Amino acid sequence: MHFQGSPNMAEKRVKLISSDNDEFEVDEAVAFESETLRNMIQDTGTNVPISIPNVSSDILAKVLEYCSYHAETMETHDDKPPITDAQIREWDADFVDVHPATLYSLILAANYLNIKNLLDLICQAVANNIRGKTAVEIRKILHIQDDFTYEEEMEIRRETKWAFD
Amino acid sequence: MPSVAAAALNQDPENAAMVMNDGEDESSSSNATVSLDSKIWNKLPPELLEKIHLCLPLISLVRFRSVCKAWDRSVFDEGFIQARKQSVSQKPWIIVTTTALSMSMFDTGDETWIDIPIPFNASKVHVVAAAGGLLCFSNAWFQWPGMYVGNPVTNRWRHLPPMNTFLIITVGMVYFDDTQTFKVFVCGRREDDNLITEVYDSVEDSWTPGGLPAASRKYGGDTLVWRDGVFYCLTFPYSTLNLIAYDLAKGIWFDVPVYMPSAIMSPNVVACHDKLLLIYAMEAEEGHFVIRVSELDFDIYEWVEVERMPPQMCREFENLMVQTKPLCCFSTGDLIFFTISSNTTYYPGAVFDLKNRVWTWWPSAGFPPHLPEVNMGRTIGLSFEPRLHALV
Repeated sequence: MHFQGSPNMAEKRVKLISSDNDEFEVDEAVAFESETLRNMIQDTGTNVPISIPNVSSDILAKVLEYCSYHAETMETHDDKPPITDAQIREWDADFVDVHPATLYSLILAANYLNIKNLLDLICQAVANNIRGKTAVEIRKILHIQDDFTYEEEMEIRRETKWAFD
Repeated sequence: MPSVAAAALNQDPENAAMVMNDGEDESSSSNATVSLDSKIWNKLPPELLEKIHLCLPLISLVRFRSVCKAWDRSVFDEGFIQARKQSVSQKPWIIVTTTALSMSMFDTGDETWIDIPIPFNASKVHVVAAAGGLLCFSNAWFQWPGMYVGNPVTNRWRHLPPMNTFLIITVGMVYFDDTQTFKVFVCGRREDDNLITEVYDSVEDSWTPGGLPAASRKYGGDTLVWRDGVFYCLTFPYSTLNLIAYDLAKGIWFDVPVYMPSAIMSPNVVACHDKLLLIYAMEAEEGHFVIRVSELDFDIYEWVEVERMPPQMCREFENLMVQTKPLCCFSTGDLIFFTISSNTTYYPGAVFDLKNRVWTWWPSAGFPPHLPEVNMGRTIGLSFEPRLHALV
């Protein structure tokens, strides 16, 4: 079973093992979207399966879906028009339109695998999610203790009041 | 091959997400309204939290200062400020009006209005200059004017000590990023009607006299434009138009030796980074006019035309203009704002992005129909880059 798309015979394939011991096989170009995998492949080659002990199968599948799409956007096909930036942005927006729990796992995976564009995309999605929240809501979500004294709280409230209206 | 991965692999993103959500219903997989679950997010590593912070708009960063001390400190952290500078292009705000209690800003990035309280008695006080995230307020039309400088984003203000100027003619301000200090420059008249130039230094917290301008020159009364150590302004009336300047380090006024284009209307001088630009209207065929943007070439001291407002936009602009109210321009970064006003109504205007060479209208939706005139001279607004870290 191959991962998505038409396998390019000239291209090397890379085997990846998730934390649940599932094996994924992708084109080298797809794996190279991740700086971490690129370094590992350059060290050990493509013959040995690469173990990714802290990313689960479902999240790894999702990450590879992202890498596969973005590797594809780099390719040029004679028979197909190139993918536009607008199409990519739309695809990306759909991609992060997931449950926050998935988003959380993705952000950790993207960070570990060092996929800069994916990490930026998810950070922006999370920022969009929290940008309208109040300080009290943020404290609740992140379990942060309010450590201001009464006087400090009054002072900071005076300085930041405009941002609450 | 595992079934769950196989299912996800061969399906489109939407269905794939459904599988991974482990049976979550469809409504919860559309994220915008789903709130983040605290059980998951409180374990977020600090470096990722900082990356998320970098994606937040300024207004959210300000609001989140009151989350806890660490978050309050983090927005003023030098590393964070530098990282934000690299990753975010902060769009300017435009201050368009003030009341006794608050000032009304337009965020050109979010296209929203922000109302910020003014912590001092601001009746008859208006914004006269902006630099590096700081605003300078004064009751400049009155005798023995006072002056305040503050950062609207942190709402921290400083009341400047009294000056020797009896009546203000023109004001300029500069913020030095490297030392986080500022200077305010005032040219005006003493009580005995003689001209005076004074410079306020934020480190000394005092005014010192500067070099005297030539008595024969009449100053435009607009906010001075700062470029590379020198303040610039145009003389008045336009029939004897000159570009004059004040070298702040040397403390001297001088005429810039550049020939000014003749028969021009509504000249404005603005600065975009290291460029000094002259913007003016000029009569064209059939009684219409063109709006031109020229750059001063400092090697040969000549104005070189760099851009014209597109004809269609120029027509629309012309239709909004009123004879007695000239075009006025101000700039921040690469953006130049063109505004016009009538006696009763305030119009938003055009924006020219000098870097990308793009003309747009700034959104008129939400603009208050009646805005009092608040600024120096014929300027009816000032743009600035809002900064959390600009120190007063």
